[in-house]
Amino acid sequence: MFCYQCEQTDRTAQPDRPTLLAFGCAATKGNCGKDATTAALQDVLVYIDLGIGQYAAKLRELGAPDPQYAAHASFDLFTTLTNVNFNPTRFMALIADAVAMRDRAREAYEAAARAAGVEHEILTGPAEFEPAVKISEVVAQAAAVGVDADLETLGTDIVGLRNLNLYGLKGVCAYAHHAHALGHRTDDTDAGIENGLAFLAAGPDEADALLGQALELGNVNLKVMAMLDGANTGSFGTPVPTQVRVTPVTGKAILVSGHDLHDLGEILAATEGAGINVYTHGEMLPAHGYPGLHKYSHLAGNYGGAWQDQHRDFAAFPGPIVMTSNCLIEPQPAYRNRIFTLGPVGWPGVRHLDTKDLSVVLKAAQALPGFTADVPAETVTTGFGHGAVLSVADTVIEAVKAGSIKRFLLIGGCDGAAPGRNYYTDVADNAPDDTVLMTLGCNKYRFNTHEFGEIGGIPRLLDVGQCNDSYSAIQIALALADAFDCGVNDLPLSMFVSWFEQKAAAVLLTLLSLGIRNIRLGPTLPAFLTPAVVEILVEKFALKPIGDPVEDLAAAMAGA
Amino acid sequence: MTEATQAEAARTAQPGAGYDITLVTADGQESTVHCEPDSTVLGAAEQAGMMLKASCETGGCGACSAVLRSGRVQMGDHDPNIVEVPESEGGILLCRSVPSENCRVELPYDQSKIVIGPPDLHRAEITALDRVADGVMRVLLTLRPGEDGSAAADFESGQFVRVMVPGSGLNGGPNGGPSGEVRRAYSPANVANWDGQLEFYIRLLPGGAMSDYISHRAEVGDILTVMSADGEFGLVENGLRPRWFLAGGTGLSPLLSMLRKMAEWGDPQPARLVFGITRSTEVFARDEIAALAAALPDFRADTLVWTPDSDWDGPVGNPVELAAAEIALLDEMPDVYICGPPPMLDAAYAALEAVGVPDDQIHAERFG
Repeated sequence: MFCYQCEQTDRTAQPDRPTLLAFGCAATKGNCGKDATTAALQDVLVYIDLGIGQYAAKLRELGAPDPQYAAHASFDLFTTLTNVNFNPTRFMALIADAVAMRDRAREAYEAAARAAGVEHEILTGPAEFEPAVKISEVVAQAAAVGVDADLETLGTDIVGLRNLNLYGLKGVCAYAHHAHALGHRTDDTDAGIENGLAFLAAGPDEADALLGQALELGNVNLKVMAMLDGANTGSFGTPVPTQVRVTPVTGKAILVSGHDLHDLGEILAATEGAGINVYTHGEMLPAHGYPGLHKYSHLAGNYGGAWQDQHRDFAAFPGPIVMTSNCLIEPQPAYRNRIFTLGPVGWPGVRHLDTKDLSVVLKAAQALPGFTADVPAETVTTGFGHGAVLSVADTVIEAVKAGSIKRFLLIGGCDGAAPGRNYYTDVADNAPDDTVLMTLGCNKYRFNTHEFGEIGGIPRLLDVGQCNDSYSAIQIALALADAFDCGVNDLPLSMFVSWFEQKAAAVLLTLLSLGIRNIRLGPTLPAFLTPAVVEILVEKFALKPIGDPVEDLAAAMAGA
Repeated sequence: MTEATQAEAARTAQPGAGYDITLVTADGQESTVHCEPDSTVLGAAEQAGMMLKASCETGGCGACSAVLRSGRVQMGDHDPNIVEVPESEGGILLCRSVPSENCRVELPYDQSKIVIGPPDLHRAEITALDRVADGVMRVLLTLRPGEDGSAAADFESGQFVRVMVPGSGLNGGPNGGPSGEVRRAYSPANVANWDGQLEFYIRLLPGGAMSDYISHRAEVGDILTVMSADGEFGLVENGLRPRWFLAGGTGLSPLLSMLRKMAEWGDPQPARLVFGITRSTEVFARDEIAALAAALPDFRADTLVWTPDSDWDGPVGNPVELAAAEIALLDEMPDVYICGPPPMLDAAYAALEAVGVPDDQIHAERFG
């Protein structure tokens, strides 16, 4: 196998590795737990989805767009994100479904061309790829279509830039799927996804074009995050600052992990009146800020820490656990029979459910002990989305003008097990008292229970939400820039971003596409960004690898 | 090791005071447990809070095979063919080995495979008791909620559950439970569930402690004590190959559980069951196998009888020979799961390897 899509990829120097790529998971199993067969099947699935994009983009050119193609590809690419789906049998089924979808797209394109009186083009590459019947042969096919294909002829920089596009597109698709699940889509975002797929299907090999498309993907991702923001707020209301209990209460319990608010909403509706408390885990914490979810009295609180602590947290949780998206790591025997997956998520031998029938989860919750004693209440606060922050924009602006807020520090992104992630805690803890900390994603779990106090009634730590709520942070930044009549880069705002998987890659591209400079990125730079590409990003965007937290903080406070 | 501890290790206990047993796992970890007179090594480890790998506990399955490196044990009744290492080279079965000296025993697995702590005991009510064929009883147990309120039947398909034989405490046993009860290991035929149900097919053996209880004393409503599930036999969950299942007699149980799990979980692999029974009057689970055919996308089953009665109109023969002959014609070697008596397993290994099934694709569970 070869995979280097996430931050925890193998960075052990292996000079004898038969590839030009120095880093990456290349053994029989990746560091995430994905085996070589699954990795190969994922590469094949992605390749076929590029073919769906080829035909969908042509259909759009002929004035016959069809949203089913972007929706299908979004789901498929989401399954290939880090820590989402590890089940090879599921990928064999997805490959068959993707081929059928692509072939329908081909027929639709040819029919649309006939209707328009034009000759249809013969598309090649993914558009005509046929997976083998035998699994071992499909796995062998991955060598020619995988993420390191063409390495010998194109070199690491071009292959790395292709993968910057691919991984960014995976992140875009993941966000899009969450919005699609809530019934939201737009022509713009569908087109952006189709174009992203078709671009990669064409085998691009020009660095400038690849960089340009990567930034265009950043634009698409901004629209996708806006769509998701609209889907979430349209379905569940505008987040409001909300105290969330982080200690359990007595009673039967279900834990819901991942990011999908639609799935959480379905679980809350299915358990209403059943005498079962529902807890959020990890990135689901911001759900408590949405009035349409907070209204359920049995949404009892948030349980556990960030995703990498799930072996400990899930084993100790006395009820069923439902994974709605990443990050899943190998379920341990202690809870293997009481963890369930939904949507794109999967693990071999773990029961996969549809939200239409959650009866087995309810049954499990009733059969398992639940929490048998109350624990003294402890809370954290979430729900400082752009709606909440901008509703007090005047107060914030006045505080900045009066000098009581010197700087905003955005500390966002994914958490992980790698050493070096305490950097973000150190930045938060060492930040001067006249700074406001805006958090996003799950790296906040390392410090969000610390006491940061207030500035003029405004809490110093504002949890903006999930990683996709980067959109909220951007809206807040744009509104502040407007209020101060300056550019975003001129605001007293510094960004400390941690990344782990491909949604963070998409967010990074969005920030770069907005021209935002001086982003501090860690704990390591993506392995697919070669030194030459990093040099370009440093030159154009002053992208900075993280260093010493105190020194970085001092530089940020000075505006660098 | 210091001189003092060496001397201590070399000490042979006084008769009647028991012996020290040093257990050495494959990763080199050592633990020493004290073994009371007439207790087995397996029982001594359990008394010390270490649940070693074991299954039938009657010398009939080989799951507790180990190697005696020093010291002496007396081996009770057992099948000599199922000891993994020849007895001439120190091979022993922990469930039948009663030490007569301090011993050093090597275990063929890592320390991490040993469950540390007292056995997890549950109360379960007999909620169904049916004779489903000659010499075969279907016993349905329903777990009573534990102190924590939990009543889930939590096991992996293929694992076994130890059941205490009611009223056997007075007789005791060298591997017995905390109160000295005789216990037997059975694999559930159903799938892990939240109704607390454990379904067993139990073959009645002349003179067997559990067989005697089930045949003469058991009634619906009786409360039994069961232990948490154990064992490593189970599906290779990420396997993409076709799955073949070879069952002998009540060895069908864990395989039925695996097939039912495949159906319930929606596993797409083609599945093939070859079920061998000695006499046609002993055939059971016909309806359950028929239900699988309706639930699995690609499933075929044959029930073969070795010595049929005149009214048997189904296939006749040896399940191992049939399976090997069919597998020999396949393009792709399947994963094969086998559960049955030791002679069947030995025959299956030989036949499957002869037709080219790689050793690591053969997964087997012996029962005694």
